[in-house]
Amino acid sequence: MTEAFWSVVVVFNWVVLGYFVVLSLSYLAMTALSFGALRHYLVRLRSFDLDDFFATGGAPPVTLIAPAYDEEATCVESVRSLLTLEYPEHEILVVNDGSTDGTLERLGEAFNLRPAPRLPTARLETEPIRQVYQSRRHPNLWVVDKENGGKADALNAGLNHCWTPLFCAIDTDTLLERDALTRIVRPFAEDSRTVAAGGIIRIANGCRVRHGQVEEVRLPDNLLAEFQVLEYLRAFLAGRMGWDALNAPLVISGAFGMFRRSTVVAAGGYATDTVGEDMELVVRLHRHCRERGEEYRIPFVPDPVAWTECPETLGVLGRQRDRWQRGLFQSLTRHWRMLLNPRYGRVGLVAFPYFFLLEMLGPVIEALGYGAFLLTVLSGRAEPLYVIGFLMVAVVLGVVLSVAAVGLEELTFRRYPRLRDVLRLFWLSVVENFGYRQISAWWRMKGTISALRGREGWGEMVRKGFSAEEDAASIGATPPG
Amino acid sequence: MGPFVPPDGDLRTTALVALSLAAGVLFLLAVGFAAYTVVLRRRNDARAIRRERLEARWEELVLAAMDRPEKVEELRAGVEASEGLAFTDYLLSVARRIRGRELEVVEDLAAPFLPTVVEEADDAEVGRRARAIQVLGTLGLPEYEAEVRAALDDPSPLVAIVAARRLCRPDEPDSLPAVLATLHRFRTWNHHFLSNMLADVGSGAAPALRRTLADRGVDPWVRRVSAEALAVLADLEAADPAADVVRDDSDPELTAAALELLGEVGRGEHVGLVRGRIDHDDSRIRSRALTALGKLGGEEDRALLIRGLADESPWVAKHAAHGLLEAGSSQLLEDFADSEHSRSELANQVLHEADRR
Repeated sequence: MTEAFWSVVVVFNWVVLGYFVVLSLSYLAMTALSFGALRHYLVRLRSFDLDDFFATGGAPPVTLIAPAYDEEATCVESVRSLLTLEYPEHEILVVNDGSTDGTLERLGEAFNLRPAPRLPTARLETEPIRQVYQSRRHPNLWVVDKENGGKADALNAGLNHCWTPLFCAIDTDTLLERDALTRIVRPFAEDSRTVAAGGIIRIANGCRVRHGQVEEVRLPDNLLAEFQVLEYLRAFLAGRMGWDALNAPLVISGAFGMFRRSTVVAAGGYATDTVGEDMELVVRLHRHCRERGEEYRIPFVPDPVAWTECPETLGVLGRQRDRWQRGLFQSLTRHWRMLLNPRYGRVGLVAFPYFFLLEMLGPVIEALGYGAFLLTVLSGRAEPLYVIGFLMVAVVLGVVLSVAAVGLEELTFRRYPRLRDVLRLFWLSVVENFGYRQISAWWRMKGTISALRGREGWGEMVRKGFSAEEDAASIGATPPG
Repeated sequence: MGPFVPPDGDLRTTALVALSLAAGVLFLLAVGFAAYTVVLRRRNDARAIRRERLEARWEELVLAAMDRPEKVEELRAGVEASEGLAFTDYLLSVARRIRGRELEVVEDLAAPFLPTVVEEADDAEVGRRARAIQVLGTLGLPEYEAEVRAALDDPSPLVAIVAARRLCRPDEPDSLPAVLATLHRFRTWNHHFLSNMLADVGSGAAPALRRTLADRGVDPWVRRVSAEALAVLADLEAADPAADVVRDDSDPELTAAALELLGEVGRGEHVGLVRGRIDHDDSRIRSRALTALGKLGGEEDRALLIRGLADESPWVAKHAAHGLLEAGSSQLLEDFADSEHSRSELANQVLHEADRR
């Protein structure tokens, strides 16, 4: 290879080093902000009596909208779990999005559904509705059966049939803790400017699930799932809490978020031409409110918990990360006008550039950077000092950030009761930097490139399902094939 | 010099060394933090066990005191001064679940420890102040009423709302004017919570609420919350001030709340006023007017309610449907539901919800 080629590699190596420095400093700043924010939040939590608030009639009615597509393995348990939520007034609206399996039949058998009238309150465009059902046994349970149109289309169909001022968008395979609704509704109760709020998603793999509730929290047996536990802790406790402290959140997880119905409808509902409809909606809400000069808030609330199953095989995980990256790309490029635009305040000046440069384009630099680094080292052309510097920034700082996230978890919610699980998380903070982080960057790079090439679709997701009285070992079992 | 070392080698080396040292320091800090976390876990686990034991002891103490209230002082001696704040926290959790004589016993148990809590009410930390007011407001009234009232003016809205909530006690209307005077601070709060909070005081709150509703100089939002509280209380004497508000029609949300109030407590003479609002430009006012018409109106108003079913807003139409049910005209609604009208499904839905289908 020519000297010109190696010169380019050198320059690229410096770019990569610079990228890691900027990325790590950003994460460190977020983590530092999160420490303070979480501490204040916990003190505030103790000073406000939620039970008294609800007893005083302060709880607005809420509709849980749960799109379902080919969910026959999990739908009944999930709905049962939703029916046991502790909240004064809530409806459950399952949207059967043209399932090809027995999802509707299973729901019909389990909950004694009958056709019932339910007039739409909005006219968001969706695929045709076949029938609306209400449970005879649980009058607050409704099922909207429609032709297949995708998750966003199903959410819009749910939104069209939502009669409450607030709605909570969840995934049918998500298990909400019993007090999750009471906790996530709190920002709406405290501040009427709140238009959306996000809760925390935790990994259920490895946990003991009984009657739709996580009874015992444990780390998964599967290594990939363990890495994802760590990732989620970083993403939510350090990442989202930090953005909340800056009042510039750009993401609410599609698995668990609460929204003000009228604002989402006014903003046009969920976009059906993106795979990242959850993030795209939040970005659009920012635009919608700011462009109209409306005061608004979109807080992250760290105590309401939703448990979800994460992928345990490289194939499924890779497809998920590819999709998330494509969703990120679509959400940001669609609203590129917000980038560095002072009209959008901190969202446009800080959050958007961060996500655009470091989260969207960054994985390309990172993935190629690992490759360039390896190439340089294997060719014997790398200076020892550069190698040390690269490893320090790319690996050590990564360890620091993960340790900090585990520390945040331990200082605040402490959901892992076994000390050995906490110690294991510390160990994973080191191990994930030698393989998992690199393959994640590769998947995300592929996602960005796919998005640039205009690829659509979700890919196949494999669901195992939760079932009552299943023990920790079987929850973590790898599916056959 | 190799092919990869740019001209400014010393600066690059310095930067790399600095970077590596910084990362190394951070790594050591991370290791230290991880170790601290483990120590913290051990300590927290030990604290939790200790706390469990303490609470088990306190539970026995509280139950004994409820059984023998005359022994409160003797039983209280079993709590050490250093446990005072934790004990009041525990008593707060108990107080939330009890009323009457048992609550008085718990208040007696807490009494000697409340001066320490008063000190916390001046803490720089907002959460601590709010917690202190929560405790004083639950366990220390009326003795510490001055401190709780003072918290209504706390710079933090959280502390102020905690104080307001604690001052709205059943059958204790004396603090209500002070709460109403600061209600504007809670503008961003859920108005249902606020109106229910005020209504919690009971019928004794009605005079102050009526005065607020009638006072045009008061913030319309505060008047609205007062109207909603009066509706919860079903205060008959509020009908005339509510009618005046509807006539004024100065603020849509206030007018809507006044119409809702009229629906609860209005008299026959108010029907004309309500009727005159069913074609209002504002859908919130139309909704409330139709519901009120269903409750107050006569036979001649059924046709107006049927007309309301065709309102451009589905929310208004739903109120009209409910108005027909309130008026005892479910047959009319059923006939409408069986018709070819575009809103027949809505009528069907309302009947279905009311278990009439």
